[in-house]
Amino acid sequence: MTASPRLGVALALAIALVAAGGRARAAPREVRIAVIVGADRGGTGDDRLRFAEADARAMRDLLVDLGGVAPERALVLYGGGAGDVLRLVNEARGRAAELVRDGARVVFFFYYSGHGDDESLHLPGGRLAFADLLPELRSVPAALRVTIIDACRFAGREKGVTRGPAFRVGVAPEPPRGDVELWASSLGEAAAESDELGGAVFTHYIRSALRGAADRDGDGAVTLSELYGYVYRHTLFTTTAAAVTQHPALAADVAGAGELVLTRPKAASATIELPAGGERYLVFAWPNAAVVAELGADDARRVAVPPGRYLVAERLAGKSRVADVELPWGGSARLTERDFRAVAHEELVARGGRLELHAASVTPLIGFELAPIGAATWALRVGATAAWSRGALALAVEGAYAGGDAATTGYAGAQRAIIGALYVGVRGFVGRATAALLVGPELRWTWQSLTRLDADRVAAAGLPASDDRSGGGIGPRAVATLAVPLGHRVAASLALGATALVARQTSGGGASLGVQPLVSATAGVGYAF
Amino acid sequence: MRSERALVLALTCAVGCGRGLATSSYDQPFGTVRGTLSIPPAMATGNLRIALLWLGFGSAAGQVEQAVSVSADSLTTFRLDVTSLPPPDTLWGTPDRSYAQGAIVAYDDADGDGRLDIEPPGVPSRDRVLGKSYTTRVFFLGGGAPAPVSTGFEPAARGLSLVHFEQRAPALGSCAHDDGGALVEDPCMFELVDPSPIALPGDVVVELRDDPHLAGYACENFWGSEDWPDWFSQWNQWSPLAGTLCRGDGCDCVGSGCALDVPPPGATVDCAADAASYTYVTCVDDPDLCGTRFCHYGHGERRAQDPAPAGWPCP
Repeated sequence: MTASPRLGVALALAIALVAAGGRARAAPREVRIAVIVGADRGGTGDDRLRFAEADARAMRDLLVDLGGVAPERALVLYGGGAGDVLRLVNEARGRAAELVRDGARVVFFFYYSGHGDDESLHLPGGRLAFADLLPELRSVPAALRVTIIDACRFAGREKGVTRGPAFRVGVAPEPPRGDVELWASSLGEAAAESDELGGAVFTHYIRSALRGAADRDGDGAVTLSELYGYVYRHTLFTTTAAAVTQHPALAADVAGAGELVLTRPKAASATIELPAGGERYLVFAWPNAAVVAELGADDARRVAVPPGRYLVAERLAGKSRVADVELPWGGSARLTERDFRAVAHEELVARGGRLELHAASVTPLIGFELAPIGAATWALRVGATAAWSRGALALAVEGAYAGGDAATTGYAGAQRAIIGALYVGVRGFVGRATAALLVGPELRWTWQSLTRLDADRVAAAGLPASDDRSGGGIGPRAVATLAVPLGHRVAASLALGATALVARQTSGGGASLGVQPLVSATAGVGYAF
Repeated sequence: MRSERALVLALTCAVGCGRGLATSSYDQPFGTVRGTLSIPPAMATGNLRIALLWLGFGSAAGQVEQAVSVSADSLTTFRLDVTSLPPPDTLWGTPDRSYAQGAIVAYDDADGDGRLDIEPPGVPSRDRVLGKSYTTRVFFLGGGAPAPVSTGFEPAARGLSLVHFEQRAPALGSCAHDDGGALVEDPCMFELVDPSPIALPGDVVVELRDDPHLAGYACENFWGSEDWPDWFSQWNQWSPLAGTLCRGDGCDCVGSGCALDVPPPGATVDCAADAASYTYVTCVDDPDLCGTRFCHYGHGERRAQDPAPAGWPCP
C-alpha cells in the first residue's frame, strides 16, 4: 500500500490520541543514536550519483545540530559495502544496549542515501538486501527506530504504509515505541536528484522539514507526522513536473503515547524568520548555494540554520526577490518585505543561490611593512582596499601610504611611499571566514630624507650632511586575506602581502636595478555595498 | 596607441626615474680614490689588503685606520670609498678650518680579520705592512671659515682630495735670507716637491717595497714614514730623542745673529759651489713613536764677501 498524506495525518492523530489518553510520569533520559550512510557510487550499471554523500553529510550535521544526536553518536559511512553498514549498525546496537542498561530511552536513526531497488541497497562494495538490513535495524534495542531510505524502489517488493498491530489506545502511558520507515518513493518509483536543489529531492525536503519548514503548529518542534506531511506534499509536487514522480512512503509499527519529536528548530543557535504571505521561499547557504530549506505558502515561517550566510529567494509568478542574511555567529534574523530586493527571474534561475547582493566592499587597512634590505626596515602602512567579487573571482585595487624611520650604514632619517596595487585572484570560504589569494602589480614612489650619522661634524666641515632621494618601483605582489564577518555587511580583515619590488637602488656610488623584498601585515574593518 | 605609450612610459618611469633608493647598506662616500698596486715580481704578498690611515701627530694621538670600502677593479687596481670623516683626534687646525692627512698602505692581513691590527709601541703586529703611497697623501680640509692654515697644500679642495707629497732636502741657501745686509735664519726643513692638490679619484700608486720602516704603520704612535724636522718635535717635546740631534748654540736658532750650526763629526755636508752655504742632515728613529724618523736639517750661510767663520765646513 502506498502512503498518502491522509494516512500520515491519520497516523499523527492516532499518536496524538494516545498522548491525550496517557498520563505523564517521570520520563527517562532520551539518547539518540544515528547511523548515516551515503554512497554516490552504486553497483555495476548504476550511474554515479552526485549528491548522495553530500546529502548524508548534511543529514548528519542536521541531526547533530537539531536532532539531539551527539556528534560522537553520529556514525557515518561514505560508500563501503554491506559488511561496513552492518558493522556500523552492530556498533549502534552495542551502544544502545549499554544506554538502555543505564536506564536511557534510546531513539535510533538510520539514514541511507544512494542507489537501491525494492530488494536491496546498492553499495559500491556490494548489495545489502533489505532482508538482511531491516532485521539488523530492528534488533537495535531502541525504544524507537526511525529508518529513512532515499533510494529507488523499482518493482518486486510490496511495502508501503502499514498500520501497526498494537496501538493500545488509552492504556499505554509510555512515549512512542516501535519502528518507523520513511521511503523516498513508493514501489516501482525512482528517487531523483535535482541540480537545482543540489541534492536528492526527498532528502532535500527531509532536511528542509527538519529545519522547521514542517513545523506547521509553530511549537518549535518538528514531529514525525509534520515531517511526513511536508515531505510527501513537496516531493510529490516537485516531481510531478519532472520525468520521475515520487510518492514518499511511510511504514510505521508504533505504539505508545505522544508525538515523536524529531528536531527542535526553536532551540537552534541560528534561525531565519520569513515574512508571511510569500508563495515559496528558498534558503540558500552562501557561498555553496546549497538549498538549506524550502518553504511553501502553507509551511512554517521559521527555519533553523547553522550559523553562516544565506540568500533567501522568494519566487513569485513572474518575479523574484532576494534578501541576504548574515548570521555568522548565530542569532535570529527576522526578514521583512523591505529586506527583499527584486531581481530578474532569469538571473535567479541562472545563478540560484550564487547571487551576490553585496559584491563590492571597501576596507581601510592599517598595519606594518617589513623591508629586510631596505633603508626603512619597518614602516607603518595605512591604506584602503576596494574589492569586487563574483563567485570565486575577486578583483581589488589598493591605495596605501607607508612611512617609517630609515637607517642605513651611514645615514638616518625617514622614508615615505605612496603605493598603488591592482589585484585579481580567487576566493573561498573557510568556515565563517572568507579567504582570498590575490596577485597583481604594485607601483610605488618612495621618498627618502637621509641625514649623515655624524651630521654635525660633516656640516661643520662645510660638507653636505643630508641626502634626499626618491625613486619609483614596480613589482609583483601577492596578498592573502582572511575576512571574518562581524555582522551584516561588516567584516574584519587580515591581509598578509609580499612584494618583489624592482627599483633603482644604491648602497653608495651608482644606482642599479635591484629587487627589494617586502612583506606586510595589515588589518581593518570593511563594509560591503 | 597613445594610452599604451603612456602606460609603457609610466612603467619605465616607475623603475627608471629618480636617483635610486638607498638600501640598508647605503653610505655615500665623501670621496673615492682609485689606485694601482706596484708589486715587485718576487714579493710574497699573502692576504693583501688596502687601508687608509689618518696620521696622528703627537705622543698621545696615534694613527687611526679609517673604515673604508675597498673593491678590487682588477688584480692590481683598486677603488677606495671614504665614507666618513677623519676621526677628531687626527684633525689639526681649528673647528672652523681643520685638516687631516692620511696614508694609503697595503698590508698582509695575516690574521684575516679584515683590518690592519695597530699595536702599541714594542708590540709586534700580526699584520705586515708591505707598501704605501710614497708620493701621494689623502688630504681632508674641513670648515667654512676662510682663515688660512699653513698646511703647505693650499689651495686644497674642501673635503677630500689627494695631494702630491714628496720630500727633498732643503736647497742650499734656502734656510736664511738677507735682510738688508744681515742674515736672518729661517726654520729649516725638507721641501715638498710640487705640493699641489689632485682631484679625486686620482691614480694613487701604492708601491710595495721591502722597507722595514713601513712596519711603523702597524704601530699606534707612528707619524708616518716620512722624515720630520727635529724642531717640530722639540717645540712640543714629543720626542726627547729628536732633541739630541741638535748640537751647539746655532743649530736651532732662528732670526739674526745666530751662531754657526756646525756639522757633527762624520756628517755628510753638501756645500754650495761658491762655498757660501752648506747643508747637512742627521736623523734618528724614535722607538717611543714607533720608529718615527726625525731629522735635523743643519745649514750654514754667509755672505760671499764675508770671511768664513770658525768651524765652516766648506773649503
